[in-house]
Amino acid sequence: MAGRAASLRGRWRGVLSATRGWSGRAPLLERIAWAWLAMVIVVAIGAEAIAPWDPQQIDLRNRLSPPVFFGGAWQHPLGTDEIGRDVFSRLVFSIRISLLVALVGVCVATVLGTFLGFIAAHFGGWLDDALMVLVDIQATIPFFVLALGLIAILGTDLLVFLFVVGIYGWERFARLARAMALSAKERGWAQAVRGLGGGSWRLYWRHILPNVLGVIVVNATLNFPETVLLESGLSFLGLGVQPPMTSLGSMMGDGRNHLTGAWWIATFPGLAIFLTTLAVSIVGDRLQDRVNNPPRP
Amino acid sequence: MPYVLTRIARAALAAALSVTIVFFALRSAGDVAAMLVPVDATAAAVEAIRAKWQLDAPLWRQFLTYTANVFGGDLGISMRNGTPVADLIAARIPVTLMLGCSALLFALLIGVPLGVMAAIRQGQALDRAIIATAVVGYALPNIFLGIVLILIFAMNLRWLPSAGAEGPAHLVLPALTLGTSMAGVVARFTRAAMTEALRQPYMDAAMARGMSRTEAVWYEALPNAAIPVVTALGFIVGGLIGGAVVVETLFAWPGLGQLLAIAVAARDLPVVQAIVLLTALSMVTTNLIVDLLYAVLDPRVRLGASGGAS
Repeated sequence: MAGRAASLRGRWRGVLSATRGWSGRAPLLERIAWAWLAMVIVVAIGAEAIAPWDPQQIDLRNRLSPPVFFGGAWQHPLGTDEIGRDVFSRLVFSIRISLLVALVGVCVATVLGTFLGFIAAHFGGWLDDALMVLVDIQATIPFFVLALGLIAILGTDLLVFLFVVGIYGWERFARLARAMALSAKERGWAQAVRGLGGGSWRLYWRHILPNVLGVIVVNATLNFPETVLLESGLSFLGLGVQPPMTSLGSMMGDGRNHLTGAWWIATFPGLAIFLTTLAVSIVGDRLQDRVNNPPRP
Repeated sequence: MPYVLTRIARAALAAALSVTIVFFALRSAGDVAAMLVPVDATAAAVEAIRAKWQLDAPLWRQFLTYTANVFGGDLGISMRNGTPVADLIAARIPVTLMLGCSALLFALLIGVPLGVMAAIRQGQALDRAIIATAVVGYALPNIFLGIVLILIFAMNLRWLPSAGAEGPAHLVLPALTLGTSMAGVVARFTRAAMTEALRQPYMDAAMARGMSRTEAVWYEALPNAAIPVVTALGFIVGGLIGGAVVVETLFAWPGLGQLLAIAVAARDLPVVQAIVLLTALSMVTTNLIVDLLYAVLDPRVRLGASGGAS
């Protein structure tokens, strides 16, 4: 068993090497980006411990109280909303929901797209053509409009929402996985696996997938900020995450009606989205450089 | 011209596919007649719709009727207020186009010069500054940028209105919001295309003929770099259409995006399906225009000389 584990580790090393050598050598901006992402993840995981208030708790005596340094008290560090709920606590739980929705969405799109890409590459013929036509259509139609169309028909259920967010970007993974599987099939080792009697599942799962995973993971990283923006856009319109759950987008949607008197409700979640998408973009661009030009040892 | 004909045939096919998909998406959702009338409609009204849209006929007859209706401009009746969908949409198309075109113009006017400058000064401080700006512009969520612009220019300075579409001043903030992230995309595309063009041998050849570098950039590199940027136009217009829903809602801009958001919230399916269809058809048209422009700009494609072009 130990030998099998070691050989597996060997196979997946290509993936790990893309992320190797970060600490110490990374430029300052990149380290800040990583630090921000680490903080956001800690906040998302430990939301209960970090939030000083229950995000649903109404405090009618402290409605629309401003943040500290803007005339507010430390009791509500980022102020309160129109029914006295603590903005900081809501922000913490919104970060959790937004990250979770985007994470599920990216995972679904990655798995679905990669699987369909492999199917297209493996079977070829009319199935390949049909899938590629679907890919082209998906790439042509603005996804936000399509998502709204699906929500209009299927409703604003959380599962429907996760499904809609999960479709986003599948076509890019399918295109990528198909192209890479096609070129991998031509390589000597793929034919050697075949020659040694390896079946299709074995070839794709144990050999092709580990080889293409680095590129797929980078694409998933680049997909993540866009998925966060999709989630926040739909929730902003009131068509995504539904109350009592709250996301960064739905907080901005609530806060937008109070811009005149209470700028803080919409601004802090917006800032959180901005910094997170920016950090993921910075990290993702670097990851892409690494996968395309692996560092020489 | 086989290239042009293939592209037109492809666009027609894509349009037909869009109509088909929207048709079946609605049919798969349940009883269409019940969805196409207001909730409080009488049974007689439901039957009238059933007869008019031939919903008892076989599926292929329904499909033909639907297609004929769509291309005849009959898109059904809005469930919210009983207005014909075609009228609702027609009133909003110019409003949306005004916002979309202003945003596109802004994105090109900012993005193209920035991308060109970055490519010319590649690797230098200016290049890095422009790349950083483009990354920030792209990561900036429309909603957040819009909210910040409203807070600064409408609430604090009181220079510009933040809602409605009464005059040119109302256009400024939404167009800036919608155009900014696209400007980042345009700058990235332009920089990549221009970097590639500057590396080509025709640049050396031009300067060997006695052109200055500036002249070579203007007359050789720019026209060549325009081709990939034009190709990206379809992607950019798609992004603008998607972004318009949120931006129009935020600024109460009475365009198609705002109508779509309202219609989805009210589950006003005739309006939703009409707008989704319209979006698909306008993307097909945009891509066709991009393909044709591509042929105009690149003689290799037009004349079919290059084996790679299809």
